[in-house]
Amino acid sequence: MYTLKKLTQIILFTTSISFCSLALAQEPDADWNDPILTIGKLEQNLGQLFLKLERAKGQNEKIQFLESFHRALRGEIRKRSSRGDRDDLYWRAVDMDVTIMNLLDQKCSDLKTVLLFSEQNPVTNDDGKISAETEKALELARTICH
Amino acid sequence: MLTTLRPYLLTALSFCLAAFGPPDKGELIEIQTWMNARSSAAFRPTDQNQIKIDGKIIMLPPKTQGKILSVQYFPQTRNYGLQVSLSNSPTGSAPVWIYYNVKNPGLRLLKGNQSDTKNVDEAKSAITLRETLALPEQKSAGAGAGRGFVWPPGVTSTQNLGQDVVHQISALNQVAREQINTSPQCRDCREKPAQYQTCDSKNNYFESQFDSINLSPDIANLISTPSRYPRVEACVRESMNISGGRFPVCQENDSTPSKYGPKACGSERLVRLVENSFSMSLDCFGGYLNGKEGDREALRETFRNTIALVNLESGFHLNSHSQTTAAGLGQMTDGTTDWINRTLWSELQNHMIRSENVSCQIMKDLKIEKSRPNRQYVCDRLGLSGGNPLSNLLYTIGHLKLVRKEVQMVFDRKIREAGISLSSSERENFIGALTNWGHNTGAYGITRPLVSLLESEAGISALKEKNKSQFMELLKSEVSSFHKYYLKRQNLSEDRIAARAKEASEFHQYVQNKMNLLEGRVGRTCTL
Repeated sequence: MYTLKKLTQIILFTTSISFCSLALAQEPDADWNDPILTIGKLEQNLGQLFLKLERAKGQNEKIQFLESFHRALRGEIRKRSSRGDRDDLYWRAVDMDVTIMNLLDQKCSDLKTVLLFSEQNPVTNDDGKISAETEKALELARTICH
Repeated sequence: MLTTLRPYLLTALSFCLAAFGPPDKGELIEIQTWMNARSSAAFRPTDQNQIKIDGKIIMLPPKTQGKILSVQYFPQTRNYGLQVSLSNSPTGSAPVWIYYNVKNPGLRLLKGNQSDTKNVDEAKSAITLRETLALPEQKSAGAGAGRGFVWPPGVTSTQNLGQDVVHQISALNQVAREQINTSPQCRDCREKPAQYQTCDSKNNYFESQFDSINLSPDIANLISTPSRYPRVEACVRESMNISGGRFPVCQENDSTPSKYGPKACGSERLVRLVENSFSMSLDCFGGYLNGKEGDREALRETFRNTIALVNLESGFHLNSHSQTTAAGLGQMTDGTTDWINRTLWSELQNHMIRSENVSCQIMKDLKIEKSRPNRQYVCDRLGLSGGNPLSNLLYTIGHLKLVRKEVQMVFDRKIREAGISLSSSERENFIGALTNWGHNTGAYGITRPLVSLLESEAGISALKEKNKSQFMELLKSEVSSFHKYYLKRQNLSEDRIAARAKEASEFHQYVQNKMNLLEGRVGRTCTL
């Protein structure tokens, strides 16, 4: 017969295990059919995409992941564009759209130059400094073009 | 009796209805009364969309001719709007909208001239819509035979070209002129083109250098050779006339300007230098820039777009200099110059060396040097040394090429996704204008707004209708919105953000307005 003390210990132990399991469990892969346009989810999905590209078996699979992501992204952009949304989230999504298109359609020999040069303009950025977003794009590019 | 007459009555009725129906897409029309030209299919007095030049509303005079691009029906009035491409209008070649009142049209169809009519027996008149060469192009069997040029008799290769450049360039230009225009004057101009200017002691600083014994042989050749394309020359001359700015003077061996002066006089030698340099560069690099080597229609658009850009940036004054580091024909900055030096200079050189184009073959033997990307050497971009103005044009083309790589990719993918099909010249018209816009905003600052527009119903609709003016108008607000988002993240002041968003969003309009002014004064489209 268990004493109250032992019962309490068992309950605490079981609860701890449960919490630890929850904490350790990975979030399921983002389903790109879900709405993805919240800032947190957008960056999370970009991170997921990066992992998928790194683990992909060959170039064809990489292209498939990119095209799939691109389709989901476009759908969200179109909805918001028609509503007239032009907030920060919208433009971040559009920026990502262009990045994905660059990855899909530019030749590898041109890709790095295109990404590095893109933000240069003679009026406010003559030196061509790149933003954090372009740095992420360059990282993605390295997974496509070795 | 009625039964017998019915088919005849029905036929007569059909003819009557047809007589009052609107003209159709592809048909040619001639305006018979003064008409407003509008930028969109809205004709109410409150719409305020009449085309203006210098703030004045432009009316289309009688005998203005054009080709119908699209027709819009207004069910309430049962009248129509016609979008037309005009061939001889003060508004230039950009399509405009005119009103078609069925009961009182104010225009007539030019019968038998539908663009797809092939039955010559049915045609009652004909209008030339595009220039055709009087003589067929001949390709020499020898090495170096260029596309678009006919070798003068006896010249079958480029091997001896370097030995007598003046004679060769003159001979080629003479043949080009005979094929395209028998007069060095612009004979189909509505207005007499500007004459060369007489110089005075203040504005003759280039003339003095032309007279110097130390003038480079390459410059000497370019100023002594008659202009390659007289029609382009008329536009270069007039652009110089209508443009102002800051004009530092770089003397021989200067690295920075010795003084500031008035704009240089548009003498015959200076105009020839600029026009020959411009035309030679575009001949050589037009296909490189637009990706359609040998496509004359695309080349015409590329010429026109580049003329529009340089017209705004410098007015074809090779020593035009802004308050920033922007200098020369294409207003190249220190940063842009450095970028081209690092990423594209070798590619530009290789293109000149490998291309069979005659202009490239000439250019590869000229001494065109890299410009140094520092204020201390700004005369590289402003003076007559180091192959300038050819070098500044190379940098301008290089910058356009870098911007275009991203712009073209985005545009082509988006029209493919939307299932839109454009002709070669229509596509080049759009991409060229977008690339010009990117010359100011950078590729980033135009591609993101472009994607936003091409994911909207309004943008897709405008593109499907090939309504470039409406498309560009819609793009303005996208450019403005994007720049506010982008610049906010760079910690600029609100005033600075607002000013830059405005400048960026209106850049295309500035290019268009000044091109309309130029073409209005010259009296024709500024292209080949």
